[in-house]
Parts: sequence; structure tokens; C-alpha cells
Amino acid sequence: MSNLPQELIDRIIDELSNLIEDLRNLSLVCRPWLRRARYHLFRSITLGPRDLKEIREHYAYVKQKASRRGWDPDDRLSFEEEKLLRSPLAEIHSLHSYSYLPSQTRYPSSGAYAYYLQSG
Amino acid sequence: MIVLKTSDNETFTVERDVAERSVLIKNMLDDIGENSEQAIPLPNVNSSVLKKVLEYCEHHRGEPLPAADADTSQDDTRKRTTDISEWDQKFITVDQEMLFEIILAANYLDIKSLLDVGCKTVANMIKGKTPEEIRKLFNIVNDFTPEEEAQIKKENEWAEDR
Repeated sequence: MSNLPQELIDRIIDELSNLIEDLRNLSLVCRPWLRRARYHLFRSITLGPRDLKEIREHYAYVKQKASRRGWDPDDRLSFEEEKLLRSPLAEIHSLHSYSYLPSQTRYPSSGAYAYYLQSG
Repeated sequence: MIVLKTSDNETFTVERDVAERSVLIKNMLDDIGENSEQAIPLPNVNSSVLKKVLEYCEHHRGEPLPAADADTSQDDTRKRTTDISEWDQKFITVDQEMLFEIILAANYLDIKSLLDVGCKTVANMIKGKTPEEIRKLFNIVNDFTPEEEAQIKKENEWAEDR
């Protein structure tokens, strides 16, 4: 195993890319295994809070703050807020939550509420 | 017939369609033309491994080869199956050293289906094991400090169940 090139180690880890519990274990084996295991572990991230209304409100707040920029030093955006505004969040047209709503509910495109971070 | 020469200077005479399961060999043959009698050198494969690999190629001869671009179209999000056919399973039941030799040879010779079987077999061995059990199984040295280990564990909690 130790004389296996990195590309083949990655290739083996790829076989388990859907098994989160195994990926967690793989990431702890040794350094050469960590990167690829994490690539799969964090390929898809859902941003919280899970309450869609809360996310929408926060996004609207940041957007409003951005539009006022320059007038008041208090309106300066933090790094995280800048990031949020430039994120794919702005591009999302609808979103549904399975956790809070009794049935799958779509929200119209009046902003964005959460997004999936895709890496790679 | 094609002659293959291994790293330990053994020669194997095989039929062309069997040898051409290997994309590397196929490309070599395309390059040197039909009529060459020369042995094809395979400096990265020894005779015991090549014998095994040829057994696989022989069994699977005539089966369609994956398209050349199959690798790039293979999406990571695609659901991977760790299923292996019965014959392949029997074929790959070898000691660990041979298993990794076969994987390295399949990679070098560019035999995608064999590489798949090898990697899936290793993946199946890993499945459900703790990090310590995996290290023990493959003789891997833990190169994390306890602090790093704790940090990774903590960060892994953020990974979502799918």
C-alpha cells in the first residue's frame, strides 16, 4: 500500500465516495489519505440556519446594507457579508427544505436562501 | 501473435486481441505496425504479475472496451458500485502484495476494467473499518499528531450525511 502512487490511493478512496462514515475513517488513516477523503466529505455543504425565512431575511439585510454603502461607516460590510453577496447564493432561483416544511415547498425567485457549495 | 517481455526477461506469446485489452500495448502495436516481430518490453511488470494479468485479459477477450473518454465522463457524484462479478472476485482473491502488484500493472498497462476490479477490492477491504484497523491491515504508519487527529475529527463533524 505504501508504494502505491497518490493517484491510485485517490482512486481507491473514490470508490467509497458516498459512504460518509467510511470517509471519516479514511481521513484519519494518514496524511496521503486525508485530502481525497475530505474532497468527498465536503463536496456538498448546506448552509445553516435551516429556517429558510431566517436565511432570506439575513440575505436581504446584507443586500440592503450593501446598497447603502458609502453613506455611513456602520454600513461597511464584513468579510463574511461580502462573501455572501458574491456567492452563488444570488443565482439560486428556488429552494426547498425537507426538514421544516410539511411537504416540499418551493419558494419563488425573490432572492436566495441557501446554496450548495460545490468544490472541484 | 504478439510477444511480450517482462522485467525479469521472460517472454509471453499471446494473441493480439488478448494483448490489446491493454490500451498501452494496443497503442504500441498501432505505432510499430502489423509486421513487427519484435518483443514488446514491459519493464514495469514481472512475469508472475503478467501471467495473472493475461489470465484476466484472456477471460475478458472480446468484451467491448470502455470508450477512450470514459474516464473524463465518469462523474465523481455518480453512484459507485462496489460489486464485482463472480469470476473477477475469484480471480482477484490473491495475497495483498499480488493485489497491489495487479493494480499497479493494470494502471501501467491501462486496463481500465482490471484497475476497477482491483480498486474495488481494496475499497471493500477498507469498508467498515476503523482508521487503526485500516493502518494495521495495510501496514500504514500514522503520521498525524494526536492534536491533528483531534482537529480532523472535530472538523469531520461538519460533513453531512448523504
